[in-house]
Amino acid sequence: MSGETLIRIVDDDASFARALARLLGARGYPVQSYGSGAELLAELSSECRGCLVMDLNMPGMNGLELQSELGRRGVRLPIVFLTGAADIPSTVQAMRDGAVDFLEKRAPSEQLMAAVERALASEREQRKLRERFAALTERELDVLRHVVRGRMNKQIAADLGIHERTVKLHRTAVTTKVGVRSAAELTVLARSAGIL
Amino acid sequence: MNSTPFVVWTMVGTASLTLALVHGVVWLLDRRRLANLAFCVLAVSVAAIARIEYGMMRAASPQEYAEWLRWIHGAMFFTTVGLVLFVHVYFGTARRWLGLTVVAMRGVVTAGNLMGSAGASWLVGQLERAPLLGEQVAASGAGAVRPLQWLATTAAILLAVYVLDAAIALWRKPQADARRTAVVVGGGIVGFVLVATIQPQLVIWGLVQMPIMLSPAFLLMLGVMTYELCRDIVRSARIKEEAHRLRDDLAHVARVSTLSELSGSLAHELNQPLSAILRNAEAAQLILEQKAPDLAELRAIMSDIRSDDQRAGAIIERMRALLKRNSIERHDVPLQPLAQEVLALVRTDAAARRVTLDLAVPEDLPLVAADRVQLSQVLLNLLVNGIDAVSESTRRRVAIEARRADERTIEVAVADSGHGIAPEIFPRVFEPFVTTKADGMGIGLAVSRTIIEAHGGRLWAQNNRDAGATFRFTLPVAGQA
Repeated sequence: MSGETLIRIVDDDASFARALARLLGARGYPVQSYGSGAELLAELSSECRGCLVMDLNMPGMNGLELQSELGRRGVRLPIVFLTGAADIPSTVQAMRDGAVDFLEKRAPSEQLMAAVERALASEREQRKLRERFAALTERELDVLRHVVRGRMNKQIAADLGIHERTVKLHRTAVTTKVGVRSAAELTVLARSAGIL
Repeated sequence: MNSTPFVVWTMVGTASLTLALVHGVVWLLDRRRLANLAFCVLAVSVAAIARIEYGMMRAASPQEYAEWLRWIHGAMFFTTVGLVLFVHVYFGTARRWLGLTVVAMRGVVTAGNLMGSAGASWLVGQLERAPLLGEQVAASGAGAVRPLQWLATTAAILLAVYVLDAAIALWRKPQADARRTAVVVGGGIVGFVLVATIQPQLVIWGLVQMPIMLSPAFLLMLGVMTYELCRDIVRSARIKEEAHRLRDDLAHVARVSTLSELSGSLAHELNQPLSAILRNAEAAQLILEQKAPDLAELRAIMSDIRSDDQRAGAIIERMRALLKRNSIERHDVPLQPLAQEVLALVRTDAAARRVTLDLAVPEDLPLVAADRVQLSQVLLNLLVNGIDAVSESTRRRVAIEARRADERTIEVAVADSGHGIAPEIFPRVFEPFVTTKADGMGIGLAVSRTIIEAHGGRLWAQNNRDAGATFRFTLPVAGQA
């Protein structure tokens, strides 16, 4: 089940969760509903695919708290937040923490569908990117982390306690495996893949 | 026999007795109204005087005349006691020793007349005839004045001084109606007491040949006093009504202001069912476009739409009930669901400020006798205050707890983990327009206390030992008289 692309709805209002599940289901998306953040956390892992559509205001753990808890657990599913009335501070925080979209509950369904599509696309993109980085060895990842911080080969060699030439070899291996040409491109990709 | 004096004196006596009855009943219904009791004593004595005076007019011999005269002293004792008590209670400014002196002097005169031989204070002279209201009635000629009569006259003058003194003291008081009462009641009493002193004195000295006529003057005095007493009763009823209206208005304003604070939450609450309805309708449209629409699913959608619509209706109904301006309507109310409803109103606000709300109401708690809307109002005020108090704290918790305090009382506590009540404001938290909130009006707690007291309960505050404050109130258990 964790391998399947799934839209996970989290809302304490059972009726709304049901209605949204029906709408997305009728559009052909596989959907699963949860009544609270705790319910979702109980069966979510970093292997899960798809996206989250969740209510911002929930009793117990609210949307923002759930978002940061997911972050702590390394779950990087894109989130579309739904809210009765969006206030600026929580919108800002949600977006800073990587929410894909922030919609009012009664937003036009085209907007909602577009947001869900964007979330799914971004998740696919990320997954592909992560696969490109997945081939890297532990040592290559170490070197990568230094490279994206803009450090010179000599410094990296000193920090890791290896020869400067070995560092160069690792760098070449990284760029080849990931398929990039410059350190700058590598940095951008690594960041959006969430490697850092 | 049905002569004019007979008719007049009978009317005076009957009128006095009627007034006595009315004021006696008022006192019986409300024992704190001592002025009415004093009035009752006074009016009975005036009725007695009227009867005695008529007897004197019809006296056939000086002996009979003197016999009636003895009894008039008995009645006068009660007139004096009634007047002294009335002025003491009604003015509140009389000198007690002066009043007691007057009563004591009257007592001596009365005792002397009733226990000694007839004519202890005034030896009746030759009985003469005097014209009165077209009739010849008995009147005494000049007799011998005894020392006891001087005591009686002194007592009467002292009584006038006593009343005058109390009226002057009342005149100096700052109360709104003090001067009016001093002039009308004080002046009236003094005037009639003087008339009732001078007239018989003139008869006794033989300066005029006429019967003794105290009761008509006294009846006029009773009239003035009755007017004032009735005016007081009407006015206190009006003040009470005014206070009621003011309280209801204030409660209304407080409700509206709390509600405007909560309007965000309410909009959110309404938004839930409306959003669900929208998404369900959209889903239904999509399903209907399919080749083989899932009818079971469509049916489920329709039933969800229906219940969400009812949910929205219930929210609006609740809001309207809270906004409605009404007076107390007591019902037997279960506390648990009511508290749940109020919690639902503030839940969004609390969640946004990361405040945990707890509710601990035992399942078997008896119903309370309360007005639903007003009780919600109190809980709402206390909850909103609690949430405001903890929003700056590290521990953010507001709890509603209820327990049975005793057989007839339920105690409800709203406790927060906030900053507590500052000592400088503590004695005044329940006063209106005392607030620590930047945009608060400071009427929430004042209104809450009025509401709880109107329910026969108490509302008080205390600072917790560890952190925050607890507001507690009591309500009567339902089903007791």
